[in-house]
Amino acid sequence: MQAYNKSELENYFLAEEAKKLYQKKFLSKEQLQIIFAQLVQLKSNANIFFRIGFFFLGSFLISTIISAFGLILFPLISEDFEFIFFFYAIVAYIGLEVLVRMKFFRHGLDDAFVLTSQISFSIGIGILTEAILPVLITMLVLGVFFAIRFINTISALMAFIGLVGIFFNLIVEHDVMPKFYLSFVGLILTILVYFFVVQLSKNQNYYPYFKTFDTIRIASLLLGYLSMNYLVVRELSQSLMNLEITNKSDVPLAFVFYGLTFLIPLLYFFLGIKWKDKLVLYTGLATLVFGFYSIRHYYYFFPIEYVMVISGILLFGLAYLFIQQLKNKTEGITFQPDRDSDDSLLFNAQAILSLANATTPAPTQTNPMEFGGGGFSGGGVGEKF
Amino acid sequence: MEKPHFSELQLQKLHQKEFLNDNHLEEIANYQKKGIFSLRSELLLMIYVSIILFTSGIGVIVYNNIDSIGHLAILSANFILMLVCFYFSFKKAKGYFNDEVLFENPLYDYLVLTGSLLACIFLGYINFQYQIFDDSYAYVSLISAVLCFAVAYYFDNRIVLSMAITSLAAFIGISITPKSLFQNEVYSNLELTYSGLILGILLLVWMEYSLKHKIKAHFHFVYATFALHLLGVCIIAGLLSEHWFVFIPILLGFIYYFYRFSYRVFATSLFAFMLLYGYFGVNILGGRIISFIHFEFIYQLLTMLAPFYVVASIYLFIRLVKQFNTKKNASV
Repeated sequence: MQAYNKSELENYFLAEEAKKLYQKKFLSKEQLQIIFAQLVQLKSNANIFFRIGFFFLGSFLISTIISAFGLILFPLISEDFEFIFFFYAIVAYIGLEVLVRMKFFRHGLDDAFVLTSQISFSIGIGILTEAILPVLITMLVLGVFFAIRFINTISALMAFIGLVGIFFNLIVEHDVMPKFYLSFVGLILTILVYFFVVQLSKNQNYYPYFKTFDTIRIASLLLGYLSMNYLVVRELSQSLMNLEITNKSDVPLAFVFYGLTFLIPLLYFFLGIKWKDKLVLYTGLATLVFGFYSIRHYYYFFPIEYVMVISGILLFGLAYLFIQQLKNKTEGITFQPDRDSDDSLLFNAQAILSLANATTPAPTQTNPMEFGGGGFSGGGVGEKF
Repeated sequence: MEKPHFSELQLQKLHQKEFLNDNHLEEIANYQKKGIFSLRSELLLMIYVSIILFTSGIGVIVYNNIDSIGHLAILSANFILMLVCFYFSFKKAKGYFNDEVLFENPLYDYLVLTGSLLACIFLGYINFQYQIFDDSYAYVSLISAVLCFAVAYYFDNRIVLSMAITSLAAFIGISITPKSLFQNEVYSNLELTYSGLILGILLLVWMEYSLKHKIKAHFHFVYATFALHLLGVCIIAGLLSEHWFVFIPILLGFIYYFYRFSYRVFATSLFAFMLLYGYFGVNILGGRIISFIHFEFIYQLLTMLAPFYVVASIYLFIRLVKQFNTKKNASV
């Protein structure tokens, strides 16, 4: 089923592991170079900038090919325009197989072809059937196929979206069960998908798919949270069930959703620490921030600037407490740098990040709120709270 | 559920292929046994976010309370807090050296950051209240920039350095932040393109000087990143303007310089963005030139040729990236 040569794939992942070993300073640069020279046969881009760049170039290539074909083909067909998208999908798929023969793997170019092929085919199905359910089923089936055959994470994500969409569509439009159960279906789906993926990743032979599994795991955790989040539940029940929410009435079982809006992030947070899994930890933090945002969306306690100051102090206190706790530990959870950690990289990242946050006004603007270079008027931060 | 750092299966395979010897395996096993889970970056990032939140909040509070009874209190609190930050920073600082100097405790870097942010708020406020420089924020930006540069160099703080550069840009009138870049609102008017170019080049000149004389040489990445984006955006804007031909040599110089520079310091992100701006620039130039040709079938011909052009550019990029990666891996 896999499109790639098995031993080439194995070598690719061995080289990746060797790179990790080098980053953690178990291997010297020379040893890594020897390993790379012997093992690397697939063309891939480890650097995310290059990969995104080549992704755009690939998309550009497909669109130019299609328009060149179109110049000849469009005058010939006057009807049956719905088949155009299938034609795109086939062109992209052929291009993809050619790229695979040329040993492109996680390169960016191949990603563009994978995505175009899937999306065009789904759009084609949508135009042909004029219904959403077949599109979602196509997304799921094609996503699984592409994810397995081309070891592609984005396809797996598309499949996951398709799967969630199918349930959503069945309940909302086809009335399989009362709409109220939507959020519980979401939660059950999360648990099923999560443990299914965890089971799969226990098999060491599936190692090429480990990154994909991680992504799906996080996606399912996010789904689980969103289906229980008060903001999402309330907005959805207002728009889907036409619930009127006043001061006295609230969504059914509101206290459950209120509680879970904060309990689930805390659960993720502790599981992340317990399992030593940074991805789960980050999911916990992100969902916690969204939880605060959801509550603030409906209840106005303080003006935003006080919230910022107070949360800043609280966050600082929390982080400081953690650092004091972990400062002198050398094993397990610790504040000591790991073998691969690089403070210089972190400082550079924060320097760039502070550029992203700074809203420096040009002197022509007379908005006294933003002070010189330092006045972070909360442009980048404000959305969070 | 706990995931090991390295997969046992992969390690065994590497061992079989004789890339790893028994000593390696033992060392790795010892490391894995410790189960290290370092939260250093995360906690430091949390501190950073908390400071940004806190100072932004303070900034807004100060602004909202201008002319009210409490403003003097808030302002003096701000000032005292700033002094406290700098007092402790100075106490712990090892003094100025041309090399990289780190605080023993990384938290002090953030104390310096807080102090600088509060100082900028303070400066902005007193200018607003007492109209020292009329209503213009240009000079406040300049003073903030000078202050931040001094702090950044003395305490060896890259985050404050990037604040200093942004303030300097604000003084000239360009608000260049990634956000404004995406929203296409970098300029208030086109003359700023030229000031942007000058600022970018000045930054590069200073960076080259400090690299040569080893004055905080590790700051080069911040300078180079800033200059790259500033110059790139200015050149693209220039190429789209009426005087586009002026920018052709500048574009070529830009590509040449950053090509050489990214090879010198082996910075992948600089190389990637150089390619991006360079490719955009060349394409805009190509479009400009084609628009001069008045030939009826040119657009059909171009559409037919476009795939070949894209394939050729992909081929070129693959070659360039491969060359870069080989050189980068061969170095160090």
